[in-house]
Amino acid sequence: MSWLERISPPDIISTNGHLIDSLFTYTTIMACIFFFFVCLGLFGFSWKYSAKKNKVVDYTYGNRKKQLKMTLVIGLLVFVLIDLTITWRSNNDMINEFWNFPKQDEDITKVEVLAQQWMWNFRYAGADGEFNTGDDVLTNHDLHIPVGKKVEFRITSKDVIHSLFFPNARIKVDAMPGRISRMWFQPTKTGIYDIACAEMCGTNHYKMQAKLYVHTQEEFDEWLSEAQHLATIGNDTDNLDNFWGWKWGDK
Amino acid sequence: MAIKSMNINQTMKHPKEIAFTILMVSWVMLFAALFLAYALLRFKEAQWPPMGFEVVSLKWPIVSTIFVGLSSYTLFLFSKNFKSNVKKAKKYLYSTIFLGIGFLVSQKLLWNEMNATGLDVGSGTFASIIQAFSWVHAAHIVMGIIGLTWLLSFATKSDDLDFNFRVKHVSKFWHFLDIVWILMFVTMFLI
Amino acid sequence: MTYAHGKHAAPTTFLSKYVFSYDHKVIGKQFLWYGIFFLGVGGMMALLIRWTLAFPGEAFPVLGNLLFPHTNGIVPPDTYSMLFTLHGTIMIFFAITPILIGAFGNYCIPLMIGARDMAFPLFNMLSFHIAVISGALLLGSLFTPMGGAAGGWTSYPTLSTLVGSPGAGQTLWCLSIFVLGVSSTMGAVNYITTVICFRAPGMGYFDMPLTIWGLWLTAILNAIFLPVLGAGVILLTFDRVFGTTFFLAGAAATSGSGDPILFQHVFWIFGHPEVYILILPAWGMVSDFLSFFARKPAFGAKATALSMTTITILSTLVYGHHMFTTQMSPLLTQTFMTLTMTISIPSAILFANWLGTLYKGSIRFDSPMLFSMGVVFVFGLGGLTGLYLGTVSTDLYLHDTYFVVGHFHYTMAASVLLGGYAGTYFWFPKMFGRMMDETLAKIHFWITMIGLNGVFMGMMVVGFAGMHRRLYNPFVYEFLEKLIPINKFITYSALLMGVGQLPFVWNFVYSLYKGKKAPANPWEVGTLEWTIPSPPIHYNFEEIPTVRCGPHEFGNPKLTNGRDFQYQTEELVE
Repeated sequence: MSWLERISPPDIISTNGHLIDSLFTYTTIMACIFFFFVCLGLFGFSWKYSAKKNKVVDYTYGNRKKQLKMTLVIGLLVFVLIDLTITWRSNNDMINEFWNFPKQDEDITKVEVLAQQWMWNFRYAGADGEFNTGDDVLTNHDLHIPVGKKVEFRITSKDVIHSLFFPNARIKVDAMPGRISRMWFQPTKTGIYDIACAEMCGTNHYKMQAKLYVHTQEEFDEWLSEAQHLATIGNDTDNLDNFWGWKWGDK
Repeated sequence: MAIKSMNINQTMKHPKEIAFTILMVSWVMLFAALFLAYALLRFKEAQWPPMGFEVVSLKWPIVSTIFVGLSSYTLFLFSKNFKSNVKKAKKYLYSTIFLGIGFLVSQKLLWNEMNATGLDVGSGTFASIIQAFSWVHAAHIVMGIIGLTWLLSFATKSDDLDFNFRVKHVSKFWHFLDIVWILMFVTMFLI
Repeated sequence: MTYAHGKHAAPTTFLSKYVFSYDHKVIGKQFLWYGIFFLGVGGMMALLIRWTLAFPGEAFPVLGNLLFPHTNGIVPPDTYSMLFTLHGTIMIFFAITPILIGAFGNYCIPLMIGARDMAFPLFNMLSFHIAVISGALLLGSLFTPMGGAAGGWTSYPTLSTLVGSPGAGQTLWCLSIFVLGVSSTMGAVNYITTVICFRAPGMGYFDMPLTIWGLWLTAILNAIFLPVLGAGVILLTFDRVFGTTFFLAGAAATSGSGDPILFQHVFWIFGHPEVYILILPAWGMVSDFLSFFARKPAFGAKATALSMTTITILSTLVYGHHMFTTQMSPLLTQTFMTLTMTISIPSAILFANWLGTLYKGSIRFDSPMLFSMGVVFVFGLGGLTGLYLGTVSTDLYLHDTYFVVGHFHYTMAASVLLGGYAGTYFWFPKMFGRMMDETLAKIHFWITMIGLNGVFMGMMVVGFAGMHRRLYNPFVYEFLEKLIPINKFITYSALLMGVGQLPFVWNFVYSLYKGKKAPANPWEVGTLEWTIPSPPIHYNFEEIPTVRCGPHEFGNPKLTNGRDFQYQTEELVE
């Protein structure tokens, strides 16, 4: 494995993950340019104006006019190149993509997520399309979704704060007791990927992982129908613990 | 960078006053944080009190308010009189202390009543915020009463500069606690 | 002024001289020892953490069997949580705060502004003794049946309530932080008052050394925001001890419904200013030292002071960027992002002024200067990497990864540590009347510099590759397995950095007893503390000096007395 592969983030499997990488790259370029100038000053002046080479110093506190100009130029450069550009780009990405949740009538995969120490529980609506009914498909540690279709998560936690993290989709959101948070992405690649808990949640925080299975639509339908079948015959409707879900409302 | 020659010390306030102002800022921030917590918890709920809790009976809160209001007034009279009229001042100082203790007693009765009516601290945020908030406030009242007893030797020291600052600062602290209680009373019991 | 401040006789007995001393110089040294002790403890914890991350499931060499006999020397997962929790807590509250603010604040403020002592010496002494109680509470929590706090230094509920951490450890942690808050607030009140009231005649605010500016702004932030943390931990303690439900919600709350996010708000209202509380004294020192050793007036000293003030004010308005993943309302999120980004402007001005100071100077590379330039370097990296985290969309990916860890170690650990060393090397002759060895100091600098960049740069790299924080064994995740070699590299760098501190410890202890006697003004600078003998006499100044010029008067071509600098007590040569 080359060192570049080693230090690069995991493959992108969502339609919008590249936005984060590209803004990261832009910020890195800007940071490098500004840091280059800091280093140029730091090392360049050290070399040029060391006590050995330069005995006579320029006795000045900086003249007010010159300083004002310098402040203005630097301030403007930083403001335009860093503040304005990054804020603007990030804002666009958030509004157009990450905060732009699927509309109510869109055909999406809906999943409810319950985090607990130290396990991820996933819930699909099941045959009747309603959440928190006896025929819901319940999985833990495994999340199955079809490729090419938006998937929206509604997330909460049973005990402490967790954070649902899809490294391959570049997003995470906290799972908080008493609140329902939302997240969506649209997978573009089939395969098996990691799901992590990103927020410290106790001793076994490191074990709180799950697997993401992105199937083709046919494979997913097959899996779902089998799971629904199993759910209708296997779900223990007397066990109240299975009814942690809630109605998929319009939050 | 030439210096404007000036003797800053002459225009300054006394260090103790400056220090006490900063301390008051710290206290304001402490209680402001508690009010912030209260506001966030309250606005999260659709209605207040939440979950069908009854509002707390106003009996003891009103008694507390009267006590603390009166004590502020007597303390004000004390600080006006302690240099000129020892006898009067003594009366005012003692009544302030007793009113302070009375405040604590009425608070204790409030907590008892809340516990008896099912509003114990474990019953949810509504009771938690009222009780915990008034505990923190009552702890400061205890500090205030200690401060007040520290003024008891006023008869012999009324000309001492340090002692004058002591009177001033204990009074400020006490009035501050008075204001905090009234804010608590209005926000937690009235509206 | 008629008010005779700090009026106390010279102490005679051992107790009154070294333990219950009112003297700001002694209290400063007490804080220094206290901080160095905890720095060692926190550093050892860091090595244990690093060992676990690089060699999961392997026994810690040498000490392992002694510390963890039940697991044959392997750090167990629950201990690992305690280690990183206490590493954070100790380094922030018990190492950096006492050294930068407690030690240098106490020692330098009166000396540099020409005062005989702090405004309230008794208060000052109590502030140290309360800090000792706080440290004892924290260390004591380790010996409770279920061990110390293990919820991270941020101790987010509900993990830090009884739901996630039963046992007395977390409660003691809360009390310890509260008590430390009381101590620091007392210190802060003292610093602010001293600077306002006891500047020597003639010293306006802009004639104060920038070190004092940094310490003063720090004290202001402390006085305003520590009580907010205090309120937070009081409520957390109530939740733990009396069963209130402020931070409990969902299934965890048996009744009623609090809000765990409430604690995050309160915590970060304090927590964001806190990072500036830690860095401001270092900025101040660096701004001074760059001028002192470039033998040139500080470029735009006034602008530097004002930039620091601007950042101080902005720092109170941006705390929300720590909470982007909790899905606050988009409007709040955007506001916090925009405000966060504006901090880059005064920071850029600060850097420009630092480099402007070096420009056309005559730079002497003594150890305090090396460390100061180190601060400029690492803070450049730390500040710029903050951009990624202040941006909402990149923070979606980077939040809670090692990128964050790398970033805040660059700003809070690396910069502050180097700043602290710069201060130690600079004022050691003043404190103890002896010089530290320059060669050892330079060895110390280079090893530390290489080590810390290896560690923190490595952290950012693994963070960008997706490794998240606070994992006992990250390599249970398939996508992180490739990072094992980099994690080993980080650990080796950390070991190097740890070993690099040995020359310092040796140098410090040796110089304390056997160091070369310090000349009256070893660095040839003109601030007030160098106008008196080292170590200073009990009352610092025989006579309160009158200040006639600024602190950075170097290289004035009109100077004729053979020196290239002026004391602040001398009339400016024009």
